[in-house]
Amino acid sequence: MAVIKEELEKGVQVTEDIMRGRRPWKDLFTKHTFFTSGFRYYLTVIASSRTKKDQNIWSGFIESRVRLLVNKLEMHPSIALARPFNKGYDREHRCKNNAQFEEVVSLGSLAYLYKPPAEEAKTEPKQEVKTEIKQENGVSVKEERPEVKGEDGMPIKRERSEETQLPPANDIKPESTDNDGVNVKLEDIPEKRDEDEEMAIYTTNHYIGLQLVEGAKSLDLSREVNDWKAMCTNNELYKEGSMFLSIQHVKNTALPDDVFEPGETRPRPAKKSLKRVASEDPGNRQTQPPAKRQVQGKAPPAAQQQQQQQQPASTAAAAAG
Amino acid sequence: MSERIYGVTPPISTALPTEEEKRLNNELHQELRAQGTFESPAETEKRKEVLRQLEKITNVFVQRAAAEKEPKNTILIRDAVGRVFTYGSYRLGVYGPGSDMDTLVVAPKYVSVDQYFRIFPQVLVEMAPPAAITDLTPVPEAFVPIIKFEFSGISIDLIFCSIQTLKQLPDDKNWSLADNNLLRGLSENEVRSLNGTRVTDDILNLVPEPATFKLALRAIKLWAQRKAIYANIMGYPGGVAWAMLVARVCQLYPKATSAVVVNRFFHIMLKWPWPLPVLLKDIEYGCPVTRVAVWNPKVSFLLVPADADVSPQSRSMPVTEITGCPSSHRPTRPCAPLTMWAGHRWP
Repeated sequence: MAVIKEELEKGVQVTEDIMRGRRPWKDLFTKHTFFTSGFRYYLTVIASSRTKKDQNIWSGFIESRVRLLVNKLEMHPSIALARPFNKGYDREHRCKNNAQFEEVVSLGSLAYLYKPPAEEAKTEPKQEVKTEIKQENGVSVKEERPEVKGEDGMPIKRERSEETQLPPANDIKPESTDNDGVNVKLEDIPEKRDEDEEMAIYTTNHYIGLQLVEGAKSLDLSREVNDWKAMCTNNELYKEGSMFLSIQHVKNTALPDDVFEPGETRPRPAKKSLKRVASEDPGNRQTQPPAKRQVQGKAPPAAQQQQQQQQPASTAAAAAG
Repeated sequence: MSERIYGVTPPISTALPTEEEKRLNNELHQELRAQGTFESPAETEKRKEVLRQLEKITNVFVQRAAAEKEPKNTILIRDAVGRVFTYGSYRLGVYGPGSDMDTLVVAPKYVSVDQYFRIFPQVLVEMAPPAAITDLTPVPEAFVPIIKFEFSGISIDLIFCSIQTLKQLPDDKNWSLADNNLLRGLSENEVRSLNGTRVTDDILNLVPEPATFKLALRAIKLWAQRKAIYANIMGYPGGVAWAMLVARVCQLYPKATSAVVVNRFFHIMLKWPWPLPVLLKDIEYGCPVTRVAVWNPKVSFLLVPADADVSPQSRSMPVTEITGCPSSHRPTRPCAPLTMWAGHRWP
C-alpha cells in the first residue's frame, strides 16, 4: 500500500538521522497531516441511525466495509490514491424536523449536534466500542463544490446551513459546478414527526482522502458509490427507515472542526493548500505525480438543485482541472 | 556454544550494542515516556488486582456451571476451576493509559457458551466490589462472542472458550494454550477465541529478548498511530500485525537495542519483497487435530478475500490469526486481521 510504503520511507530517513544523533526521537512521532494538508478532496461516508443500539451495529458494519469502497475507488481511472482515515468520528444530533434530519443523515450537516449535558464538547476519534458520543459544535460540513471559489475556506456556520444545503448531484463535473453529494431516499426520511419533537440521530463519519491523477478532468464516482451503497444496504443488518447511509464529497477547506486538534491549522482556500496537496501523499503508484491542479475559478457558482433525490445513493465528486 | 536461532533464517547481525546505541535506546525510552505511552505503576497494579478478581470470579462461575450441569457430582463441583488469560496489548506488555484489557476465560468442557452469557455476568456483579462493574454489555452474537464491561474503570473485553478435551483444567500455573490438542473438537469460533492468547504467547516466545521487543513495538505502535496507519479494519495493519513485523526484526537482530530494531524495522519493511509473507516460524501445514486452520505467525498482504464478511461486533476481537493455511483449511469466514491490505497494490 502506497501510503504505508511512503511512511516507511520517511521512517528510514528520520531514524537514520536519529541514529546519527542529528535529530531527536520526537521527530519520528509527529502527527499525520491527513486533514491538515494531506488532500484537497475527501469523501465522507456517513452511517447513521435513529438509536444508539442500531448505530453500534450499523456503524460497525459500515466500518468493516469502507475498505471495499476504497478498493473500488482505487480502480477508478481518475483516482491516483484513495486513503481511508483509520478512525471514524461519532457524533450525536437532535433534529426538530425532517428537513434537518435529512441534512444530517444525507448531507452530513453538523448544525444540530447534541451535547449530552455531562459531557465535554469534544469529538474524538472513536476508540472501539464503548464510544460515548462526543461532539463538537458547529460547523457544518457539507459539501461544497470544489470549484466554487467564494465559498471555500469558510466553514459554513450553523445558521447558514439550512439554506446552503444543496441538492445532490450525481455526477459532478468541475465545469458544471454542480453541487455534489447526494442523499437519502425519500423513504428514508422520517415521516410523521411533530415539529417540536426532537429526533435523535447518531452518525459515524469515515473520511477518505482522494488524490486525482494528473489531468483528471472530471470525476464521476456514482457507479462506485452506488454499487457500494447497494451492497451495504442489501445486507441483512440494514434496517430501512432506521439506518441511513450517505456519501458526500468534502473539500479540504470544508472539513469539520472536530477533525483538527488544537494547534493545527486547517487548510485555507488559497494556494497554500495547493502546495500541500503534494506533500503528504504523493502516492506514487502507477500513475503520476501528485495531483496538483488549481481548481479555482473554474466553476461557476451554483450548484444547485438538479437531480435532487432522484438517486438513492449519494455520490460524491471532486473535480480537477 | 550454539545459540538458539529465532525465526526461519539465521540473524542478520548478532552485534552487541555500542555505547552510542545504548544512549540512543535510553533516549527512545525517555521519549516514549514523555509521549505518555506508559501508565503509572499504580494503574498497572490496579490491572493486576482486577485480573486477580477475575480469576476468583471465573472459578465461582465454573463451579456454578458445574453445579447446574451435574448437581449431584460434588467432586466435579468442588474441583471445578477456570483460567483467565490475557492477550493483545496487555499481554504483549505494550499497553498504555486507558488501554483495554483483552481477556479470555477458559473453562472445562461441560461449561457452555450459553452458561457463560447467563451466569458469568451475575457472578461478576455479585463478587466485584460494589459499583465496580459498569457498562456491562454481553455481545453473544459477535464474530467472537464477548462480554464487555468496565471493572474499576478498566475496560475489559472478555471472551470465552471451553476446552472439549478437558473435564478439569490442570492446576499447573504455567499451563498454556500452546498445545494444538486443546483445539480438538472446537468450532471455528472457539478456536478463534483461543487464538488471541495463543498468538500473543507465540510471538513472545519467538523473540530473542522480550524486553527489547516490547519497547521497539511501543515505538512502532506510537509511530503507526500518529501516522494514522494503524487499524486492521480499515485495511491497515493492526496490533497483532505490527507486533509480528517488529518481532521478525528482533529475530534478525537478536542482540540489538530497541533503538536499532526500530531503525532496522523501517529498512527491512521498506525493502521487503511483498507479498512474500513475513514469517516468525515455519508454517505448520494442516493441523492434524482440527479441521480448522491453525494459526501461523505470519503476515502477508495478499490473502484477502476482498469481501470478507466481518461482522460488526468483531471489531475489537482477536481475530488475527488464521492464515497461511493450505487452501483446504482456509476458513470460509473472514480471515480478518491478517488479511489486511486486501486488494491493495503494494508497489
